[in-house]
Amino acid sequence: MNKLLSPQYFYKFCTALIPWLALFTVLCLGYGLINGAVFAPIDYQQKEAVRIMYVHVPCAILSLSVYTIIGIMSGIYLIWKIKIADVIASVSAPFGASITALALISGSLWGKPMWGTWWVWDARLTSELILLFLYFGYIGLRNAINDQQIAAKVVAILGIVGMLDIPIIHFSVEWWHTLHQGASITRLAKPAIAPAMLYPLLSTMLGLYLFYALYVCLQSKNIIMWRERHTEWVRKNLYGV
Amino acid sequence: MAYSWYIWPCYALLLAVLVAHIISAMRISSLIRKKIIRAQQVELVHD
Repeated sequence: MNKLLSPQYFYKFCTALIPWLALFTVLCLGYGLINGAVFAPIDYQQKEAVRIMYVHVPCAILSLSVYTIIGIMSGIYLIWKIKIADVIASVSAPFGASITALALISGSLWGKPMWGTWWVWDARLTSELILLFLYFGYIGLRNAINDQQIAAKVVAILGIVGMLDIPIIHFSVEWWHTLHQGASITRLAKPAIAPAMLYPLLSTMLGLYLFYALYVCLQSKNIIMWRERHTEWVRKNLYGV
Repeated sequence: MAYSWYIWPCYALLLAVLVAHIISAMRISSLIRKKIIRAQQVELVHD
């Protein structure tokens, strides 16, 4: 385990993992999105609009997961000073921001035909918008500080403090009366969704998690290579010696 | 099937975001490699 935490071994680990992640990402996303867009049954109330679910729900869940990972990695970096944790947190932020934006946009596109409005200042939507601003803040703060070590510490604190928003988003539909519906698949009891809809949804969700892992591997390799550019192993890696 | 106009933008946006992330990661990788190699060549010339 300690070996894996060294940049050189983490780089090799990512290199070995990338082809497998790419393969399973394509399989899961392909199955989930094609079924969601074309073959899954329509909802008797929402009709075709239910197909937005296969994009919106995985994006919304992933937006929370990515920030949770940023928070955990920030904690690991602050406590144990493990550089890889900072690398994972820093590469996760742009992906998290775009997936959160996507959750908000697809939610808005779903809201118009279902609720009759693009946006309401409801607890779930507002707390998700705050999450998007947290991502922007994280990215902006890291780029605003020139000293990499100070930047890593400052954004790690923001990463941990920002995690307060995660339970607020998750429980907002229970704590307040909101227009947004409650949980359908995250509860431990039997999911309130038909299997013909559930499987493509779970497949898209898994595909997006795999894609996130793939993206983290690709970008972590880039950052590690740049930070370790003066070392012998990077030199050997570049020239294939 | 009577697809409504608001369904396809969601799928198109998702795919566009995923493809953009992969392309940017690969492009950054190639730029970093070129930059490091160039810096090492400059070092060698100075030596």
